[in-house]
Amino acid sequence: MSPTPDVTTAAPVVMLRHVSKRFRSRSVDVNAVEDVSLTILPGEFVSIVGPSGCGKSTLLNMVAGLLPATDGAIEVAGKPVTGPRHDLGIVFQQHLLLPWRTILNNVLLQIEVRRLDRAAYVDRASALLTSVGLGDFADRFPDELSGGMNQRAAIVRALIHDPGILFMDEPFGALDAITRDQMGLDFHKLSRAEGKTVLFITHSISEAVFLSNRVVVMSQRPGRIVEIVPVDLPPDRHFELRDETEFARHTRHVRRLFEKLGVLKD
Amino acid sequence: MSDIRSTTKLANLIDRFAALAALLGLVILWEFVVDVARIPVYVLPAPSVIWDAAIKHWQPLALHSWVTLLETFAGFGLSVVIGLPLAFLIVYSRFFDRAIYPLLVASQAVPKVALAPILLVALGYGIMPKIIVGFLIAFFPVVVNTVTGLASVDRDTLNLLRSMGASKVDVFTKVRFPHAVPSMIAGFKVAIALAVVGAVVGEFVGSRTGLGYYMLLATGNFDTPLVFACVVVLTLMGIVLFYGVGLLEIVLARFNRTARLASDVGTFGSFGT
Repeated sequence: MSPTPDVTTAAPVVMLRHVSKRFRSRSVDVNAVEDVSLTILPGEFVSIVGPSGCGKSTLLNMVAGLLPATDGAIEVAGKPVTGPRHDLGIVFQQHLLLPWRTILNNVLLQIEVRRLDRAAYVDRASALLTSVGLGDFADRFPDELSGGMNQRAAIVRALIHDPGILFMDEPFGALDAITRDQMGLDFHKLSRAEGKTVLFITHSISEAVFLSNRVVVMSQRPGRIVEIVPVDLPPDRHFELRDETEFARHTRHVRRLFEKLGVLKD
Repeated sequence: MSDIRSTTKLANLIDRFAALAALLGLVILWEFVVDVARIPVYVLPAPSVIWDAAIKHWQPLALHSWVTLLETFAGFGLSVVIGLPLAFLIVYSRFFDRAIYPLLVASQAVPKVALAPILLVALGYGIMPKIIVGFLIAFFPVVVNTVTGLASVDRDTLNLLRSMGASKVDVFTKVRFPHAVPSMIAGFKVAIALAVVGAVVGEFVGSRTGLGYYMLLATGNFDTPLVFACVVVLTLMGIVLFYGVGLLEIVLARFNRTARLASDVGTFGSFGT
């Protein structure tokens, strides 16, 4: 369907074949996602970008096993997805930290629930919190921190058990523009340093291009893949990149796809 | 949380004790009006006369208060002991949610106070009918507030827990229950106040002890100051019990971070008396 880089190097981490989702309500069936096929390779950073309500989050929930697909097959790490997958980390648009737990204890919730040895992960939690600039805030409560800081903690919670795959559902969507840029870059570095495979959902074209190896462009409902755009930019991303013509070439390409769909109008 | 208006220490002090000062003002006004308008004592006794009556009859007042207090505690305790598990069942069992919960809500249209005479016939003159009436009015806010608290965890949080592989027990102990604590306590506060009402109404209908009985006795003797003294004691009892339950909040202080929720649902279920 679309060019996929490095097909030969490794087995895919995520594979979707002709996946569809219909929601049944009393009077009408809503086609949320229609015939989506996508393969994500280890270490790839893939973004799905599309208008609101195009089924991006539905797609992510299906891959995570939180929502059954109506049609098609989904595999994660070579195994068919039949229920919630426990071998991944998820970050949602809201940080979803528990307000009665400190930042550290929120991060360690992941460890407690998985019945892992809490003591063995305290050091890793502290190190990760320090790496996202929250070293001094481990014993604070979420309501004492800003939205951006809480979202950093949520990212650490998704990383603490060292999953190979990260699913990000508009993780920076609730943040102000400047915080959002910084968090995007920091997260990009962190996920590369930890060698994660990332599926990232956003409605920002520039965020998608800036962070990804490939950008999956989805249409409005019913959500279909319009094109998978490979991003030929150097693997290390810097803010400077956004001013360059190569970057603009990519964002223009994606934007024109949306113009063709009628999602954007000049 | 300091108010923008209160800039000085004196203003702060007035602000803090404003309600108390207003109450004091009203009592003084009451004393004054009764005196000037020469209102007969059996219609509206002055606060000072009520005070004298309370002092004079402090022994029977204390004795009957004790009975009413016990009935209140028992009615409230029963509503918690039965209300909490029922709320858990409603949240976790589809049958209870679909079949029992609507019935429970509809049953609130029954004036429970009107059941007191029936209970009297069934259970006699002892404290049992008072406890049951108290329970009947008090347990609904316990159930409703607990259900609301347990069920108001958002879906993404539950999805997050599912992706961690959390068991149902984990979801309950680590998320649902602590999340529900503030609204549960809000329900308890309403319930304890209602349990007092239940106890007194039960005593009105048929009793030989308790403040409700003592009030009827005083009314029969046209001893209006003593009736008022009983009302004052009941009011104080209600306030103390209300704040006593509030103390639970401090004991469970680690869940206070969700207190905003409690104020949202705080008055839920206070109808139906």
